[in-house]
Amino acid sequence: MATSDYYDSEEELDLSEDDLEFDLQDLHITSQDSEIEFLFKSLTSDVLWISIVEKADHVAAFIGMTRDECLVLLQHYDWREDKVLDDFLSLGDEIKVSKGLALSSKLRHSLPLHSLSRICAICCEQVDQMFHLEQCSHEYCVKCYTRYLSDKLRQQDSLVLCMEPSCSISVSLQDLKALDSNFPGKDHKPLYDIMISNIAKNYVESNPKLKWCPAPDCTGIVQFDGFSTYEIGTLKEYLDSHNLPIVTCPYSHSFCFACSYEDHDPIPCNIAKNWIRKSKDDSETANWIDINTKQCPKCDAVIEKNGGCNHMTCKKCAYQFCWICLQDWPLHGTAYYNCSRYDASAIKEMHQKQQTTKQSLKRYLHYYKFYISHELSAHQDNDLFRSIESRVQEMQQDLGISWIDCQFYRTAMKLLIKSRKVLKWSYALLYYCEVNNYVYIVETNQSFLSNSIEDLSHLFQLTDPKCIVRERLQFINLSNSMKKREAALVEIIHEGLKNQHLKVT
Amino acid sequence: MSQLPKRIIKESQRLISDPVPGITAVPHEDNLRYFQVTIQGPKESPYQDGLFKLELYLPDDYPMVAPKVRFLTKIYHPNIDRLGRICLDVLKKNWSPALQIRTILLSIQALLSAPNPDDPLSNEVAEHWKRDEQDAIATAKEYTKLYATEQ
Ligand SMILES: [Zn+2]
Ligand SMILES: [Zn+2]
Ligand SMILES: [Zn+2]
Ligand SMILES: [Zn+2]
Ligand SMILES: [Zn+2]
Ligand SMILES: [Zn+2]
Repeated sequence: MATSDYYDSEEELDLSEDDLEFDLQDLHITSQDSEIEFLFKSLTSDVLWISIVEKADHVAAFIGMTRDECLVLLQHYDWREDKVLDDFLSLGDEIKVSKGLALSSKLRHSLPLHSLSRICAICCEQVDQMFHLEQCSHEYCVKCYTRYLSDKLRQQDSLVLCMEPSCSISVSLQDLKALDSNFPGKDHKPLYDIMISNIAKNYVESNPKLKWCPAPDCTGIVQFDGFSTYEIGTLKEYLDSHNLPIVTCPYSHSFCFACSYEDHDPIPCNIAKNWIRKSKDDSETANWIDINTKQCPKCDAVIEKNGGCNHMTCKKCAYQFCWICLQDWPLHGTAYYNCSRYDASAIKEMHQKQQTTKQSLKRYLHYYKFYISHELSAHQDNDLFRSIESRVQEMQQDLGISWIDCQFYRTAMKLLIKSRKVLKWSYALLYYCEVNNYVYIVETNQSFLSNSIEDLSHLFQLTDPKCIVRERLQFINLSNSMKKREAALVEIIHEGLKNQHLKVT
Repeated sequence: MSQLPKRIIKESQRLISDPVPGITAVPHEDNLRYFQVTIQGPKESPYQDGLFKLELYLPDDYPMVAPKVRFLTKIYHPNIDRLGRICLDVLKKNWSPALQIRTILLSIQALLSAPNPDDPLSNEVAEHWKRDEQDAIATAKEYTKLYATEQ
């Protein structure tokens, strides 16, 4: 097993523990293709806007109003076209008055005349340019109106009314266009653009089938499109049968559609949520791990970590050790050593005694240490990933290698990031699981995956394009075996949760 | 202090030259954005015969944001809390830059005539109001006598 390059689920697992109740052959691991798929589309905000406009145009054609007017109307009716049509049939053009698109004829006649004095009632200054909405004639200066609207729009309002408090006219996209051209802002975003994104936000929030990508500053959207089978009808049913709706936005961020958190496969939303809350709350433990530097266990030299690799070599004494457990690195290559396994005697002790707070903290810290190490490594991998394009370019230019022949490098990095994520979340899961033999199986597979990840991660420390190209096959082989081990760990966890071999407390 | 906007100068002048009946608002001589305000308790309300002191401050962003107003005199009212803070829509989400200090003070005066226990700021007072309006009004009158009238 130790020399085997990859782990297959069909292969019998040779575990040294005698009291192992579970055998992998008993697990009936479901094959990938019988899984129920969560179908989705990823949309950019531009594509989403096109479908919003189509919807407005559709209504517009029925009721003979403009697109701008229909965009306002649809927001009043939670984007339900049928409701707009219903009300239009019973109210007729009165609908315009009731939803702020036009003044009643009575009010229209009592509107103030355009003032000749050109004194703005808001700032009381004499001004050159006054502005009013197309549908009413409440005039204020361009500067005051722009400030008023940018304040409102910054609060993400998508239905904004005339500045005159007694007036119920809605500001239209056309009004904003007029104002933008009156007062071209060089240093600020056009009001028109802000309004469009506010309307899109209103649209997404009113539709449970749409979700924004949670990645910071990302404007991608994912649209839920049902399941690959009719056996499952709702998202809740899907989650209840131990599936996770992991989706990808158009900019390749993957996240969970159910909880809008980053991809936390293979563990359920509630456990991921509890874990995140716990690790955020425990400020003492957040500081507990020294983040970027450690001392060499042999010579005490301070070593800084760079890149995601956990295989450290001291620059001073050349001692090779593991960043996480600070043990001899060569030990890690053998099947007998498992740096991520929680000490068996400690587990027994825990079984016998009541869990004291100290023990549970110790237990938490054990898993937290692995979780946070891989989280940090993932950040470093991500930094590396960002610099990857320049390396690939070097490979292409200096060595004359084609784009497609460099793909192995990008692919391996993507797989590495994915596998680390799976491994990371699997530690969080074990914290909540009752210790039993199935947990051992999970831990064994964690350690297989962890070894693969570290091997591949180590390979990524190569910076010379020549060396990278020379190791091409090694990149491909290592990432393939890592992928298999990742799949095995995911299936074992899914299976364990489904059949309650893993007992979540 | 930066120069006072024309809008504030105009409003201050008008508050003095054309005061609202039952309301006074005088800018502080050290800070012209800070006003000392008094409101007479409206007739037929539990606040009748009381004179209530308030403070009003115009933030830098005024009139894009609402003035900050607070009762200094203790008052028993479901929409005013122990610290004198006022729950009034025009001071919050319904603020418009076209509203003025005088319109705000008029709204506060109207609030004294028509307490609204369904949109409370002070829960205990509002409960009292809903449970036994007569008794709550009696308490409000007592407060008025105790805190809002010169002995
Ligand atoms: Zn208007
Ligand atoms: Zn103005
Ligand atoms: Zn995204
Ligand atoms: Zn989730
Ligand atoms: Zn050393
Ligand atoms: Zn280790």
